Amino acid sequence: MSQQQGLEITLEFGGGAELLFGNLKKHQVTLPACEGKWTIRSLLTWMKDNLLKERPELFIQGETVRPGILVLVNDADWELLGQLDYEIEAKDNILFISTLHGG
Amino acid sequence: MCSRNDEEDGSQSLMEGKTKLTWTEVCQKCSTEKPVIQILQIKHAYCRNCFLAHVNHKFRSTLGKSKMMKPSDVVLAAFSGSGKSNAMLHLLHAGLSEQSHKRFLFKVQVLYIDEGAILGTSLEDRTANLQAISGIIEQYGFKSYYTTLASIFEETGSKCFPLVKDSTLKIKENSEEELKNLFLNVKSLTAREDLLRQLRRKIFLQSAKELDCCKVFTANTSTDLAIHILTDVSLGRGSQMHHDVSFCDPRDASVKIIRPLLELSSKEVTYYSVFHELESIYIPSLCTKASSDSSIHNMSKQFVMELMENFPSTVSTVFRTGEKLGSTNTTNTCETEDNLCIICQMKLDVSVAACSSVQATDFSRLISSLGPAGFDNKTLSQLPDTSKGILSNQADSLLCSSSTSCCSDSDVQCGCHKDVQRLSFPDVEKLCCYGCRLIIHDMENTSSLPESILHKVRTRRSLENMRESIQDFLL
Ligand SMILES: [Zn+2]
Ligand SMILES: [Zn+2]
Repeated sequence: MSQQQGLEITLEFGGGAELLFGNLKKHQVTLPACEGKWTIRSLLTWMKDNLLKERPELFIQGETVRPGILVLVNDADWELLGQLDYEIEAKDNILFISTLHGG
Repeated sequence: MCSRNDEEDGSQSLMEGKTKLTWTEVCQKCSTEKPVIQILQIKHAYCRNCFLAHVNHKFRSTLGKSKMMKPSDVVLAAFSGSGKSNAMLHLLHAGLSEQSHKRFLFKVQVLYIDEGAILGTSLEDRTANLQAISGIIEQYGFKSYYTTLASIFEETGSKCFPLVKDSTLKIKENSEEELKNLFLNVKSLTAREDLLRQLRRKIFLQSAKELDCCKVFTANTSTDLAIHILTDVSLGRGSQMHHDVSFCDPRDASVKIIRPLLELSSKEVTYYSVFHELESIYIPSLCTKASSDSSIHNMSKQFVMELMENFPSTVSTVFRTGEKLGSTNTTNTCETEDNLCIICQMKLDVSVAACSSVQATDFSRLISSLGPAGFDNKTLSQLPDTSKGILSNQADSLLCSSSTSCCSDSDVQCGCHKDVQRLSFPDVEKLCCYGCRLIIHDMENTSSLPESILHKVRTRRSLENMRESIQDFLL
């Protein structure tokens, strides 16, 4: 099923991850319409091209997030939701929070 | 780990990677709510309420079973602005607001350390951070204080200041300069991070004493401590690792450093702060935006995080192992000051064995610095005094005759019959443990060390000189 309009979602960053996104903790974004469904996998690629301001290797490693960065979709652990394969829905809130900062 | 995977016939299977478990639709604790977090250490998916109860229970049981907390205790909780340290304050606050018999009886004060000077952060930004920090602490109603990293250079006067809504950062220009010099003086990021860790520890102890607190709480999680273990081993701090990662660091006689979050992972503590919508302020530190291979600490971090990702159960194995590796002769309780490292208060173990790794390192440093043709049978007796590579004894005897220049900028009387001398590398290194020596080795000169440390070197050296000079009379 293809999506005609863009997909509106909220991206949030915490624990220092926001530094790589213009020091902004909350981003309202509209993902462009695409063939098939948006997944976290394709979202990460899109973020790398459109949102990441610097040092992509500190956020993305391979096709996934750097180890130590937690991902929550609507306040739930993405590990329970299929991780990279989770299909994003309109109005989803996706939080990336880094645990790499010491005590 | 290994023993768990041993097959019956004695053969070993490969370590299990992360398996995709099929999760039930409901929380595995209450069997009614939808699960929202996967906790790998216990292979469970919990709903929000059960998870928060689990964290709270872990925190309380860690404190409870230690049997260390007394009702009369005043605890100084270290707060950095991070989600993790905010979670610690929230857990403490929850414990203090419990009903009668479950309530924590000890008192809590909060300390924030401003480290902006070493990063060159502007004074406006540092003040803004300070006020944001005070805003967070205010919600809990804890009495709070701040101090600066540079206060380590101050000899007298109070170093902790009350933190209230409109606090402005009080800094002393010259100690700030000294702190900046010290960090400029240390070349590698590895040594700088290690130095910062040792200084922070000193600040905790110094502030706790000033504020009459007998315990310091830090928000290190089991994940952080697994990283510390690998870093400690790599930095030659294996013998003190036990103190760096166990529930209580007992090195200081009057103030204990306690790690009440050590049974929780960074993931658990972070989720706790997200679910409670705890505010956090990210204050950059030395390792901010550094790549993962920029220092030993960052590499250990990357390694542990990757383990966590791919072999989650191994992280607790790293941590449990480190916790158990206390060596029998590392308890300092009955040691005198004379026997302790001047930087980290670890018992000095560096002059024991004839073939220790300390000597091997020193020797190889010396040989490497001389180059292939430089070494002959006179080398050891001709150690140049600029060479930082010390073969302790030879270098010492050389320095006794060459370092007679006066330390004009110091007014400290060392009590010995010679003039106060400029301290050489060997003088300082002799009084450091193996790990701290590596920091010193990385420095351009020793004079930028805090006066409190230099003072100890002078006192102990003059004592030694005195002992030497009266030796002939002691028969
Ligand atoms: Zn539940
Ligand atoms: Zn030391």
